[in-house]
Amino acid sequence: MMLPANAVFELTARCNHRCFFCSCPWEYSVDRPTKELSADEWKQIMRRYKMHGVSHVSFTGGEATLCDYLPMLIEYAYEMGYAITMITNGRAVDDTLLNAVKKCGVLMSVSVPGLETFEEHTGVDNIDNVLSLFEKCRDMGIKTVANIAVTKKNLPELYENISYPILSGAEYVLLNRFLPGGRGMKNTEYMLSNDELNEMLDIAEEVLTRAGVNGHIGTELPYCVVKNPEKYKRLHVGHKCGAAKSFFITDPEGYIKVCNHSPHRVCHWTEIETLDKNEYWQRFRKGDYLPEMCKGCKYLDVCDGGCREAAHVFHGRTNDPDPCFVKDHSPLLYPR
Amino acid sequence: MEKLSRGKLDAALDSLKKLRKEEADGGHFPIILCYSPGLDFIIPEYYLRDSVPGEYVCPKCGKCFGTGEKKETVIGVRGYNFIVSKRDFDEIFEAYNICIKKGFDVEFELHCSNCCLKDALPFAVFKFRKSKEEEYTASYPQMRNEDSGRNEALISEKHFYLWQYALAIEFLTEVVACENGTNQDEACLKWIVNVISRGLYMNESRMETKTRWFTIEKSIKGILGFSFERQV
Repeated sequence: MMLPANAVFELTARCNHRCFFCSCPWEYSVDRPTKELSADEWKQIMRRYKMHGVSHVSFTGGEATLCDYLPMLIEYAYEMGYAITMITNGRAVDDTLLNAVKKCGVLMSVSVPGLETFEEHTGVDNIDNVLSLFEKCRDMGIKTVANIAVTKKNLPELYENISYPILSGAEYVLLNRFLPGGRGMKNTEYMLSNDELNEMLDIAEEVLTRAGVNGHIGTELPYCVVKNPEKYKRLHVGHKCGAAKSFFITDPEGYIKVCNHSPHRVCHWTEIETLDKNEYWQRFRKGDYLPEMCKGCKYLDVCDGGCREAAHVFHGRTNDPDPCFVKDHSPLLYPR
Repeated sequence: MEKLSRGKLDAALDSLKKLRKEEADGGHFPIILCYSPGLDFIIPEYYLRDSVPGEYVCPKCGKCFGTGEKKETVIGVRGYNFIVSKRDFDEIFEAYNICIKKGFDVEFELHCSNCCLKDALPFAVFKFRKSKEEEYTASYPQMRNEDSGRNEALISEKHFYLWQYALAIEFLTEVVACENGTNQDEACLKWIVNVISRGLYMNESRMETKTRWFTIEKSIKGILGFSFERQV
């Protein structure tokens, strides 16, 4: 049984930010993890996954840096030969962690959702520290990614929101459109319209071209929503879902999910041998989730009709339309 | 946070781009993160995959391929297991790994056989970037696959044998990326002497020195774009 190459470890459900766009499913459902795996259990998981073809691990949360044994896990992953990414809001990053990051060649993806609107997005006034962190990483030779969730609130300052982290040392930009899920389910009025999605792409391409930096859109966009798909050279705009194909999630209690958006636990990590026969897992493996509205579309070979788990969370089924196709984003209407 | 006007912000971005270009032109290999799908197409654990090599998505057409099931229905009898051997992938992947560890910008992609046959693409494309503007591509398989029907398209200056990739990678890691403070000319000379004096890859130990030199030069220039300055 082969697993996707990239295993994402949600080390903890705890977080020191209160982002209104947070898609962690436990922020919306009653299934908030009550316990966390121990360091030994995560090590066991890494050993097991290695035997099933995993080559890259990403540490996230909640906020991964609130996990006391994160530096130890990073070193362990490095010794096992994994490529490593750490996703963080940067607030609790200290020198011990940075030294482990540097030593183990970790790619650090730092959340920076807004400049002037940073506090509105996260509930915390921390933008200066985040920008300083990019600078510190640059000086230490640590590779960083500016990870930007784009909402109606920060779209007006997106040009600056991309520029400042780049000027502070970010080597790459990852943009994620705000999608409903987790705490974000209560704030759907801040989702971008399709015109705004295109504006987001145009702004990003403009900054990236000027700075000579590359970036990509993290969550797949329906192909038909993008007005000028050929226009983007510095910005990679993806349309295919990678859940259970190129990556998968292990949550704080050790349950496997196809995607971090996913409200559905597929099975416990100790049961990975059953994935081959798991209907939900196989649905994502085989791409058997296309919305009715996409049937017959000539772009199906390059597009999955948007984010399938966001559709699931938003409408109720994985083969429902991507939330971007809904005109009214009023939170009062949801969940459907 | 010090706020800049839009004009100053753009000027700062322009300066950054210029700086990055200067670094690239200076022979420094910039580290560009490989977020393209390429990273997902590598087969790091190929030996574990055995008869089922796993699923991959073709960057050309977006189709999934590589499972036993799809191998029969999509790829047909000329499955990619048949064309691309384990040993070859192991070698390519080792080279890829070395580059990643050394911080080079390198990507590795696999294409589905439909696209390979239709567009005369190689199965595996191995890309290096000397800088953002200059890219060197090597691919596998080469023209050795006489029965593939793609011979003509694959015979070009940009296709090399696997051991030539290995030479190029070794050159990158031992000469180009030599530690700060080390004299690069010395490192280069040491490497050349080492390569010339040992049997080249594929046990071609009987190759004449002149031929070896030609082979080395062709690999380094063709794959990486570097030329040696001859000093007699």
